[in-house]
Amino acid sequence: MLSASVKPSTRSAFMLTLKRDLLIAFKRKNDIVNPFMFFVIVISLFPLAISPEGEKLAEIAAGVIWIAVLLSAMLSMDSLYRGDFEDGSLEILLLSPHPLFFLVLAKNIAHWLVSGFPVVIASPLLAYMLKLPSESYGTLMLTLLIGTPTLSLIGSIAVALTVGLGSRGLILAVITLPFSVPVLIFGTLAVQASASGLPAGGYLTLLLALLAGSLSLAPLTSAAALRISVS
Amino acid sequence: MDLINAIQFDSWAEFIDMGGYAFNVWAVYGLFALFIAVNILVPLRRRSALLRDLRRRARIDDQVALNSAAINRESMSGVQTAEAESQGQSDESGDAGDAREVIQPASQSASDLRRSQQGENS
Amino acid sequence: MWLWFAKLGSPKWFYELSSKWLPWLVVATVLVIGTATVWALLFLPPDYQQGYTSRILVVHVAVAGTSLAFFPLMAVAGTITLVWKMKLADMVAKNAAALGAWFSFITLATGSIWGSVSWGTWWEWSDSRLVSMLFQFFLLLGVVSLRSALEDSDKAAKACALLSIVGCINVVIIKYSVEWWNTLHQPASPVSLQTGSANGPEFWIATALMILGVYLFLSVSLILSTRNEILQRERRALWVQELVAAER
Repeated sequence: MLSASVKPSTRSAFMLTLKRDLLIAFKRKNDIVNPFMFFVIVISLFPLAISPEGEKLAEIAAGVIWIAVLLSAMLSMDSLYRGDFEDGSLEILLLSPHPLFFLVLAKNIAHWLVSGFPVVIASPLLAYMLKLPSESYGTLMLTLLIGTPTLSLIGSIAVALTVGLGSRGLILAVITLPFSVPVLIFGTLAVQASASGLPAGGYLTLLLALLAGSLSLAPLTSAAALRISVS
Repeated sequence: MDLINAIQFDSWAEFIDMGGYAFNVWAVYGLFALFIAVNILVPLRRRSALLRDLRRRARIDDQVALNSAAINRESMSGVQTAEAESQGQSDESGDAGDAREVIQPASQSASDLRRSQQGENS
Repeated sequence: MWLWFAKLGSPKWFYELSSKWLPWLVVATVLVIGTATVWALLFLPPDYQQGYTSRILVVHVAVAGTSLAFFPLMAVAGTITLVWKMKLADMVAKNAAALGAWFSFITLATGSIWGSVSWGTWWEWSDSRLVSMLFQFFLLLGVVSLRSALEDSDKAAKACALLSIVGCINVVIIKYSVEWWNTLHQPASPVSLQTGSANGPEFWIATALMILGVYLFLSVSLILSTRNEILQRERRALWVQELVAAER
């Protein structure tokens, strides 16, 4: 992927990894489409299980959307390093002279662009179906825009730790779901606050703090975890 | 005597009753006792199982060493000394048969050993 | 200067030292827990609000307080494993994860038995300590299951070390976010949720003694299982084989 004649800068290595991962993602559409479909289907099951009444649905809408996001993010995480591990390109990535931090970050961003971002875009539609008050669509999208990359970054650590395992769906859930509690709490609190006409700025700030913290620490930890798993 | 006066209960029944919260209080203390017992006894049991296992392995190792010594002796006597063969036919064959008998279970448990080691390492 | 550190990491040294200390630790544990239990059950005056149920709190508070020590302990052990590659630290960390899950579980169980009287319910989402303990329990189970999933013991050691460090940070974040969530959803939390605020000094002395006892028990149990781990992993070492031969 990196040409041997020109020694690329870290910046271009970052961009190349990003491009490569996006390209692979678009070639393997199942990995993008299935988690998204899962997200939509889970949400449409809730009215059937609880009640078609608008009031009841509006009450649970924020929580339902957020939990569906959590679960589908976890499912989509599985493909983050798997393909690269299986064809050996992960080892080449680890041998690269560039800081692994940026390469892991590039992979995480690429992954978020194809898995988290579609969820953010689709969320108002699903919010409408769940009768969420229309004032809080903006807040919902904002929380998802800040929260889903955080989930990807945190999930990346767990995926990196278990990358060599054959069947790891459940262990991934056991490790990552407790880790995503703070994001879930502040995400839903923000949406609920805005639905009842209260300012949600404080929660968004806290979510941003979580994003900033995981943006700086999680790729570092994922890199360390990858070095442990691939050795 | 002060100590006895300081006891909050006048009778056994009162003590058992715990002011009407017998179930809750005794359930918690019972759980606590169980918790301590389990977390002490399980490591102790594991220790004795482990020691037994290590002793068995040591015995197998000894036997393997013994057997290979016996096999060496047998093959060497076959090649080298014709006199020894003619001399102690019955003696020799008995020895070899013994060795073979010992080898059988030993090799079996050696493969056992290898398998269990693989399980730990892979 | 680093000699003692290197020595500390040697399983053999630990095994021999713990052989000497273990009897005394066991005696101390039995004495302290015994005294605290007798005191709590017989002599503790009933609380004017909670009656005899404050006896439950002696155990519950001691176990709960001790269970908070596990993630810091595992994070420190994990750092030692990752930085100095000390075998002993990982052996301790491995057993600490499982024991910590036990502690969290007992905390939840005793807490809900107490709650069934004081709150009138076995489970109360509006008590943030209970909720964050639940998630600490899940996180510890995650570490345990990661350990059992990874078959290569060296890889498992490093992976669990990393997860413990991340988990330790996360436990703190979860604790604060759950508290936040709680204060917002339950503006008027029942007064009786305030554990032990009405308890007298006798209660706190008994509890302090029980905390000491539970810590002693923790160290006994951890030392016992670490010694097993040493025998298991160092079984090819000469000193273990001699030890086994001596006990034959």
